[in-house]
Amino acid sequence: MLLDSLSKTRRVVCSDSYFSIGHHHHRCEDYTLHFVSEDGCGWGVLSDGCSSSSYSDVGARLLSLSAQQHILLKQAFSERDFDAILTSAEVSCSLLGIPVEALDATVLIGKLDSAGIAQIWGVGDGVLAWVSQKGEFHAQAVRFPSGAPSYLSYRLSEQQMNIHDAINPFCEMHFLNDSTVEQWPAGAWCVELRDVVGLYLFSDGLESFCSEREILSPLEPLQELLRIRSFHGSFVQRRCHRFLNKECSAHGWHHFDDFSMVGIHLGEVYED
Amino acid sequence: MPLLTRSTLQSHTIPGSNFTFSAASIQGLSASEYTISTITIDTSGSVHPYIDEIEKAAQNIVTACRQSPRSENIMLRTVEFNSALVETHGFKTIPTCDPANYHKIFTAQGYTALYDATINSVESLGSYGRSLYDHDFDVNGIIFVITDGGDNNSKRGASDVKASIHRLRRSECLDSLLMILIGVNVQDASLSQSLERFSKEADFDHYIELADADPNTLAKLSRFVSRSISLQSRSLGTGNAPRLTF
Repeated sequence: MLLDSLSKTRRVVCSDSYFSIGHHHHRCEDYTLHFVSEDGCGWGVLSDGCSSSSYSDVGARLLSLSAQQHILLKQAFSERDFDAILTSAEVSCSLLGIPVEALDATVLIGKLDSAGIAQIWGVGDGVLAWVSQKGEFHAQAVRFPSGAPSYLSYRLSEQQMNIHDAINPFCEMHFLNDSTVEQWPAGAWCVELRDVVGLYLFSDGLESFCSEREILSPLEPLQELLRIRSFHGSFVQRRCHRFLNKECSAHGWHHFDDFSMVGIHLGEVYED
Repeated sequence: MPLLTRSTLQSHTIPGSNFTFSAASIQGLSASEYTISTITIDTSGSVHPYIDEIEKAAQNIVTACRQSPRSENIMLRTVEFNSALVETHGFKTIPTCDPANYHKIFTAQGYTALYDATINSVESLGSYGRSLYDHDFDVNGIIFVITDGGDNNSKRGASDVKASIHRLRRSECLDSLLMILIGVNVQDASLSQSLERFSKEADFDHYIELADADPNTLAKLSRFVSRSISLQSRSLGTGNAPRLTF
């Protein structure tokens, strides 16, 4: 298609998300939200509830919705805001008559603006991936050596915080591209990136994909999931649906934990 | 300079052929799955006596499809054929199809290039379906070929129609494909046999024969077409096509 050299383009952020129950679960305790704020920034929120805590499927939703509401009101987010999200979700639990252990969940929040600056804030584990403007792909997995990730709800009890701090003096940031590992603060962490065109967040369900013989490296499903050709509309849902329903069947893969994905993409549109 | 908006249809050429078609830009599509449908309408000279009823039927199909709860997931392309093939409009979502645009659009003239028109419809739907599939959309298809006469002007034959339908079915980009041949105003036994033979040779799923083209019959045809499109849309994701009854 021939374009007039005077055509103007502008950078626009779009976002989408998806969550799906794992083979070994009866309820999906992952939840995701995505939205674009008034200033044109794309946001994604992902929460993974603890499968052994009651009502954590509800808790994951409450935390995600609280985060969204907080961000839309403030039009911003920082690590300090995790407490406000928790307080809001705790009130919701009280009104619903469900125990606060429902809030035993991770929370990952991602933001991508039209300048290509990405920020991710997290409490708990998960996988982050991004694509740079040069088309380079990067991924890192947040893992807790104890096997028990941080949950936002621990902040409600000094005793629980002490137990958590004792078993999780740090979390590990595994850089999947070069297999290096760094120790990061266990309570809450933040990542800031530049020159990003695509930002993706995953729950640790990405690390639960397996074949008949073995658990897969997260890079294998990740590279398939990021083969997105069209970023309009429900682009993450389409990719996940195709990957889970057709490509995984073809490979003989399945995921035993709940799986969720948030995608935020920076693209260009022509000015009308 | 073309104005690039979400409502602009883009022109496509089918690889290896001179056939072209137009379709909504994939970048502007918001749903995750689509039923892509084509209505291929004979406008040869013989349909002149009831061309207005044919247009009315096309309008009614669009009107009914717009009322479907799945209308956002249905795309329609309308093609008229006689000695030549003219695309009334390319693949576009039902909410963007305006029944008023079907008023006085067909001109009854010329011969009946039935086989060429069917091949164009199949290959255009297959090409667009493949594009959608490659962009992670789930897709199924349904094609209606509506004619009042046998072929007398095509460059290709019934076996070529069968080959193109089989290629499309084998490509696996469509969840399912329904091919329906409809004979309108079939009052001649030899025409009936000819169309039935074509339907079998080309491997259509259904052949429906209408003995006349009066308003009631064409109204029933409209209801059948819109209902079939809606049923095919609801079966998307199952890997199967619905059972259709006229």
